[in-house]
Order: sequence, then C-alpha cells, then structure tokens
Amino acid sequence: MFGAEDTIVAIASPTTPAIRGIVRLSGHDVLSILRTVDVALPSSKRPQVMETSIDLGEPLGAMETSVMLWPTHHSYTGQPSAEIHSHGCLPILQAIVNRLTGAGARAARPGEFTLRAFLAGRLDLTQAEAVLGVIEAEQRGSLDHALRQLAGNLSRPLEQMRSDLLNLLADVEAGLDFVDEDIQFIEDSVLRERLLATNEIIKQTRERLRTRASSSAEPIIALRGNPNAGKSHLVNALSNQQAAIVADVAGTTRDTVSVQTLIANRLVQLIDTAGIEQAAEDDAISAASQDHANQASRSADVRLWCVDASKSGLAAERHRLAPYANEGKRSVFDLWVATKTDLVTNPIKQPNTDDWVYTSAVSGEGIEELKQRIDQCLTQSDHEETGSVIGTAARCSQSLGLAEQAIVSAMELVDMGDGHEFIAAELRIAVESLGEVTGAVYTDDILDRVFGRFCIGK
Amino acid sequence: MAQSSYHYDVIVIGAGHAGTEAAAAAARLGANTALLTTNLDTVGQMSCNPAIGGVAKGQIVREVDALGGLMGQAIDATGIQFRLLNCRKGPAMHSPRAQADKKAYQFHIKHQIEQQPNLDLRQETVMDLMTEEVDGVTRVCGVSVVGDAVFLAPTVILTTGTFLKAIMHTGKAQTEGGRAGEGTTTGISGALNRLGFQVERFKTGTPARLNAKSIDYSSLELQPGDDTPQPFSFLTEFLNASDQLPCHIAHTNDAVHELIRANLDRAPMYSGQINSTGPRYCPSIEDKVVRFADKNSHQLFLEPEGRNTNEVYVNGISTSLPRDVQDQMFRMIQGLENAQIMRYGYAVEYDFCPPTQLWPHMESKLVNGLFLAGQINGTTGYEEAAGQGLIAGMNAARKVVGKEPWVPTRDQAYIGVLVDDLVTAGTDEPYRMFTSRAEYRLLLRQDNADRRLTGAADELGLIDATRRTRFQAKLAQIELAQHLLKEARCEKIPGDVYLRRSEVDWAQMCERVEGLGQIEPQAAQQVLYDIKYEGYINRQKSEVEKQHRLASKRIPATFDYDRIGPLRHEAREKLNRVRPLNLDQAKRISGVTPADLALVLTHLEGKKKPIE
Repeated sequence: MFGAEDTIVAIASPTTPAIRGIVRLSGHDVLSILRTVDVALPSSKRPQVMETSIDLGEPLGAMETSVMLWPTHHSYTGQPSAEIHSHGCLPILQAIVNRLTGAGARAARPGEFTLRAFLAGRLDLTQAEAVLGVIEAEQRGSLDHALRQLAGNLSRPLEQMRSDLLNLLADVEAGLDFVDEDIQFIEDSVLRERLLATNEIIKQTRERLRTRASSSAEPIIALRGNPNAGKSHLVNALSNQQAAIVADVAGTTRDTVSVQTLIANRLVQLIDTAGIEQAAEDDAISAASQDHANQASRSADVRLWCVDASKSGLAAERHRLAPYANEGKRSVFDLWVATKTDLVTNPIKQPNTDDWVYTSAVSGEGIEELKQRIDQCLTQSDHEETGSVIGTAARCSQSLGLAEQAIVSAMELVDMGDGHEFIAAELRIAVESLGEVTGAVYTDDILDRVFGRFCIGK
Repeated sequence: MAQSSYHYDVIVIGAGHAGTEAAAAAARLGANTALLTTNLDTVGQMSCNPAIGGVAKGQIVREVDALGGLMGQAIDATGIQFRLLNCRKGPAMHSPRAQADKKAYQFHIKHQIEQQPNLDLRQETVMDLMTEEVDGVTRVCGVSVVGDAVFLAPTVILTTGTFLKAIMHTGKAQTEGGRAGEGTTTGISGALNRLGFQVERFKTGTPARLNAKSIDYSSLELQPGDDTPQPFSFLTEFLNASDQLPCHIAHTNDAVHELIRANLDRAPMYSGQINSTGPRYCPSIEDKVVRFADKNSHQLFLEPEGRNTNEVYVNGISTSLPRDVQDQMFRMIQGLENAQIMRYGYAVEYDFCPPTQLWPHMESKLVNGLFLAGQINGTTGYEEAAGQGLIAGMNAARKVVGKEPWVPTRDQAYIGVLVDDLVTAGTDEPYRMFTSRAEYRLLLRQDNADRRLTGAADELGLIDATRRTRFQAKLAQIELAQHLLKEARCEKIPGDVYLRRSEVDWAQMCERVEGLGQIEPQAAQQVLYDIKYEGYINRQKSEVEKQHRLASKRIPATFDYDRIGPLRHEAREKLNRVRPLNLDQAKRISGVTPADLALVLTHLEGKKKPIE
C-alpha cells in the first residue's frame, strides 16, 4: 500500500446528493492519466482551475467538469494532484472514478491521501495518527458491512470463491511439492473445469457489482411489523409519495416495495416489507413474500418496527416481535414506531423509559420526529460508510478484474499442457487479488489445506 | 577460576548439519573457530533417513553449495543413488535428491572440518553458557565444559538439534536421549531457561531399520537412480552412473492398519504419554492410519544406508509403537515377511526455542552474540539445518569484526525464505521447506543457485579461488551465448526472440547460430531458461521490486511501538515480539494490517513538521 508512486483516486466529497461532488487524484501519473481521459492540459506549472469535460462513455457521455490541477509536488499530498468537480450525484462520481481507474489510476485504500499528505509534511503526526487510527477502527467492522451493502451479500461469494481457488491451488501445489506420493492430486480436465466454474462466478460477481454498486450505496431503512400495521402509509408519509399500494385489507403489500427518498438531506432507500405472518402451508406467494421481507430486514441499516397503536398492547407486541429483531447486521438500529395514533383516543404515552415514536400518517404527528431519529441512527452508525462502499466497489472491481485475468491465463496454460508451477503462479495472483478485497492472508492456508486433505509424507 | 581456558572468536556447540556448516563458514571468513561436540564419532551424522535433497530441500543444498558450504560436495562424494525429482515439470520444480552412504557421508564431513584452517574440532561436553552484563545488555562470553575448562569467545552458536531435554519413546519404554544410544544435553537447557528464553516442545519420529539379507527384494518394486546422475555441487563435474544402488518400494495393507488400530493405546502419542506437536507432512504410521482411515495402503521406501552395511531404512513407517507390534507389522507386508529389525523405530520429544526470538541473521534478541541454528529453532531436515548453520556461522564471524549482518532475501534464496519465515512467523510444527513457501519459486531454481548467490558469497569472502574461477567462466559463457543469439538472425528475426517460440529448442538454434554449439551445457541451460521463461521471470521480478521498496523502509531495532497510541493491541504485541527490521517484514506478520503499517510508517517519518 506504500507504493507512493502509484496514482490513487477516490471520491472526496460526501456522497449525499449535493450540487457539487469531488473526485480526488494523486500520484506521479496524474497528468498522463488526465490526458488519457481527454482533459486538455495547460503547459503552466502553476496550480489552476480548468473548465473541461470528461468522456464517461455510454450512457453518460461527455460530462462538464471543472478540474483543479496541481501539476507539481506543490500540493496537499506532495505530488501531482487533481480534483475533478462535477455534479454531486453518486453514479456520476462513480463513473468518473471508474474512468480514471481504467486509465491507470488505482482505487485508493482508506487513509492513503492522509498518509501521503503526512509523508509530504503537510500534516503533523498527531493529525495523521488521528485519521489513520479512525480508519483502523472502522476497517474491520465496516468492510464486512460495506461489502454486504455493496452487492447484496458480496462478501460471502467472494470468500467462497477465494476458498475454492485456495483448494484448487492446494491441489496444484501438492502435486508440485509431493512428487513421491502415490496420490493423484488433480487431473488437468478437472482443473480446467474448476477454473471455468470459478471464472463464471467472478464474471457474474463483476456484473452484479457494476449494476448494483450505485443503487445499493444508500442506507437501507426497512419497515417491519404485522400485516396492516400501517407500514405502507408510513412509507408514503416519510417519502411524500404514493409508492406503496395502500389498502385497509391486511396483507396488501406482498412484495417488498422500495422507495428512494431524502431524509434530513440524506438519500436513503425505504423498503416496505410484507407483514410478518405465518405463511399458510399452501401459500407459496406468501412464503416468498416473507423471504423477501426477511432478506430486506437482514440487510437493513435501520429497521422501523411498526405496531398499530389502536389495536394491540404496545409492550406485548414488542415482546412478540423481538425475536425477529435478533437477525441482521451487528450494526443495525431498531426503532419502535407506534402507528395510527389518530385512531387512539386515550393518551398512551408512558413516561420515562418510553423510547417509542408515536406517529400518524394521517395527521402527520411524529413523522418529523421519526425522520430525526432515523437521521441520528445513520449519523451514529456509519455516516462515512457510504464512502467506504464506493471505495470498496472500485477496489473490488479492480481486484476481480485481476483475478479474472489470472484465471483466464491459467486456463490457457492448462490447454497448452504447460507446467503446473506456472498455473500455480496465476492462481496465486487470483487468490491474492481476492484476498485484498476481503482482507485475508493466504500463505499458511495452502499447506493447511494440503495436509488436511491428503496423507502426505514418507 | 577454571584450570584451563581457551580463546576463540566463534564457538559452535554441536557438530551436526547446522554446526558443521556454521563452523566451516565462520572459519572460511577468517574467524578463529572452535567446534565442540560431545562425541567426535558422530560429526555430520545423519540421524534419520540416509538421504539428502528432495523437492525444495535439494534447492537448499544447491544454495549451500553456491555459498561455499560443505553439504553439496559431501553428498556428491558419498551418494549411492541420485535422482532429479520432478524432471517432467518445468525447471523451477527440478529437485535433486540422493541416497547417501551414511557413514561415508559423516566421515567426509568430519574430514573436511578437520582440514579446515582456523577451525578446531574438539570433543567436549558443554555444561553452561557464560554471559556478562555490559551497559544493561546481556552478552555471551563463552562456555564452560566438563573437566574444569572454559572456552571464551564473543560469539557462541548453539546447534544442539534434538538433544535439549530429549526423551525417546518406543511403546511405554522411555529413554533419555536425542538419538538412539546417546544422551541428552541438560546444562544448556538450564542456561536457556535462566537467560529467559521461551522454550517449547516438539516431537518427531524415526522408523525401524531392517537387515537387507532378510528382505525378499524379488517381490518389491525397484526404484533405480537416474541414468545420468546430476551432481549437487557446482564444482562436481561428473558422477558415476553405474555405481548406484537401487531403492525398493513396499506397501502396507489392511491387516497392518488393523494391527495398528488394535494397538493404538500402546502408542505413546495416543496414550497421552507424548503430547507435543509433530510434523504433519512426515506423520507416523499410526497417525496416517487414524487420520486417513479410508486409505488402505501406504507406500514404504526401502533405502540402503550404505555400501558397507546391510541396514535398510524403511521410509514411511516411522512409529513409536512397542517392539512386538513393530515385529508383527513387518510380517504382514509383502517382501518383508521375514524381515529382521536391526533397530526399532522410536519417537523423540525435545525442547526447541521458538525462532521469533531471533533476528534474521540467527542471533538471539535476548543475548548479544548468542546464535541459534538448526533443529533447536523448530526446523526439521538436514538441509534446513545446514542453511541456517551457514547463515549463523557467517554472521557470527562478521559480528566479531564489526560488520553488518548479511542474510539472503526471499527472492534470492530458499534460505532467505527459511530464515524470514522462522523469525517472522515462527512455527507451530517442525518446519520443513516446501516450494510453495517461496512466492518467487520461478526465480529460485536449483539450476541458477550459483547465479543467485555465488557473486554475493565472493564479496562476503565465503568462496575460494577455484569456485570463483569456475563461476566467472560460466558467466562469461552465458554472456557469450546471449551475445551470439542477439546478433544472429533466424528467419529475419533476432535469435533470442526466435528462441522464445515454443517449438524451437537449443539443438535447432545450435544449427542456425555459429559458435552456439560450443557453449558449455550448464551455461546454455541458463540462457535457454532465461529466454523460455522470460515472461514469468519478469513478472516475478516486478513483484520483487515492490517488495524491495517496502523493505527499504527500515525500522530501527529500538523502535518503540508503545509510542503509537492508536495501534491495536494485537498488532502492538506482535510487532513488539518480532521486531521486524523493515516494513516488508512487518507486512508478513500475521494479524498486522495495512492500516497498522501506515501508523508505523507515519511514526518512522515522525519528525516532520507540518508546513504552514
């Protein structure tokens, strides 16, 4: 990570919708990379602002931007740097990052700009340490979270893929290191088949990454509760639109309905789920709805547990729903929302320990309070996380690309009947690339796998 | 005050494969060296199997030789069967292996040691290590030996193998000792404890030896040596093919496995008598039967122990089962029905010092001037021991004259991988080299060990004039061949480009390029491999460059990790223990993340003031 010559790129502005967004670029190749993306560069060595455009390819086309350029080491990071200012819209900023990584930049790791600024003497030790310390603390917790958010549970397939490749590598390595054993470790035809299968998964994952990175980058807010607890009304109230089909018949929402909306100036995804019910045995649709709902619930950042205040005892309902709340991410926030307060005549608020939010979609009571509470949760949990998701997306995509390349080369080697030591070299690159995303190390793994599966040794 | 005292620069304790290489290397560098052993008749002894080399290990022997060590020439002189393993794979996988005439091998080594200038070989039993405190630093200053004498020196190298608190097990029978018929070394164990070394326990095993006259070879599979045996040493020109003795292969069967299962409670490993960790790759037969229950046969290799003995080593059936079970086992194996056991197999448990207590040049962090090499560091294998011995001996001699340590890098030698793995990651089972441990395997080939190391060895002063002349002549041949190829035109393209084609071989090139046929085969091979594998070699080289950039960020030995406030507890603890010399080594410590490294880096450069 200290190849300070590498040119790194990342989104530098908050990822919430805004008028302006910034992509930052730093490293020795900044000028040539900008040239590659058709930014006309002046000959002057002074820092300057240029109004120009970047071709982002289909469907975005050429995008008007202003580029602030520091062509020499007189910059924040002590090396040629640039800031590309564009619309503060996530897909566009991401497209810019992708274009730049395609032109030779590398997606920055957490803290890299800070590190470079420190190495250039622009920050003092305590400042740098503070930033890097925060990054360290966040890395473990948020990486997993970020990956999951990124492409609907991306981390599990990645881990699985890495594990498959490690097994494959272990087989190949065993054949190289334990030549005197009377064990057939792996046949070329099997090797090829397994490479092909892995390659398919990598391709699919890359595709998912490409299509889903932008849409799932915003925090997810899932509404849960019994059928007809007023979830859909609440979605409409929070988003000011008629997204969900609303009816007084319990169980109207059979699919999860997803709405993008702004809450306290933050783009979020509201997911209206089917009501929690025991699916009748023959009701396949209902069972499928429940699956959807559970899935949404598990990937949510904030869950609103809705209870119809006009019907049930709040405490009893909460007790009944609590087991469902045990699933999901570690960092999920649960808010308990009493709905339909307009139908309640007696005051129901209980003093002191009361953490319920009392709402009415009809009167608008409590909606602002609920928005504030959601905002607090998101601020507490991971206001930087969206950024980390974007960063992870770019790095994932790059690493997966490397892995795919290596596996294709490995398949070619198998076809040519070339030595397994070269195939092993390709597989190592693939495993290492995937390991970079998931943060795993691999050297010890190979031998562990060999000894676990084969009886080795004279 | 001792009655007699002797003064040296370097004292080596133990004359096995690590000790002899250490002493010889120190002496070659001009250090006045003493090699002390409890028994002059076991110098260079092969305690276990009568073989040198094998996959990855053969590469180490070639490196030891390229650095001017003893092992390569000794096995060339005393080998009774030579095979190049993996020769159907690419050159990086080719691995030389040889069966040795055990006794001849150890006598050869002993004789080399006896002849070496600056080196005194003595039979002495070391009682204790002597240390002194200078400016708060504990330094070694010599050893005391039985017979009221002391040997004084600023550097001491411990290569005591399996002899620290060693116990041998055959069934319930336990004997103190590190090798059949020999004792254990208690004084040194005591000294290491007193000095604060962390000590842990490993176990290893050895199989029975049979009498050849009682084996029915006609029913066993023959395993002959190569038709054109290849030497280990770059100085050996020719080996006699017709002189070789064959090995044979036998197989265990269900009946044998049943017998072992029925007697598991009598195997010390399973009865709880031994509970230390053994190697996974060289498991005892009882281990194999239990862990791989679905396998109904295992291979056994019958290896002759020498030309002038009937003893046959049964590779693949190391065991600590009691005598009667060992007897019965062989009766059930085809070809060995009437086999007579000459020595029974046994397991040995011994102390070792987790090697993270060492710097990469094998000097201990606790005691200045005290070096540890070989099996005491938790490794197994003659070759791994020899490699460490050479590094320890050379660096002890360099320390005496105030020179910086020298250690090969991971991209330079398997020996570099070996010492780096040991001091950076430690080991939780007896450590053996595999090619998969080397990330730059394609660069670390047995054929180019001299090109990787002999130049450096020459600068270090480790090699003699003969080796230098031979090496330079080979380099000149390589250059000449490269020049001829570059200048030549084949179908209008330069010869070196043309040779890249997979269908073109060296013989064809010799017909097309004048003078190429006269190039020495060894040099020709280098030129050919360089060109054929150029793509892979270049890619690994560019990875090496990245690694070197990281390695250039050095961390002072006194660096205080506690100063870095936000460093995670796990990282702090591990960095404090390993005390990596640079960021590259730090990166390889498991559990240390890139962000930890970033923090360390900021502190390394920590004196910078912010620019206003």
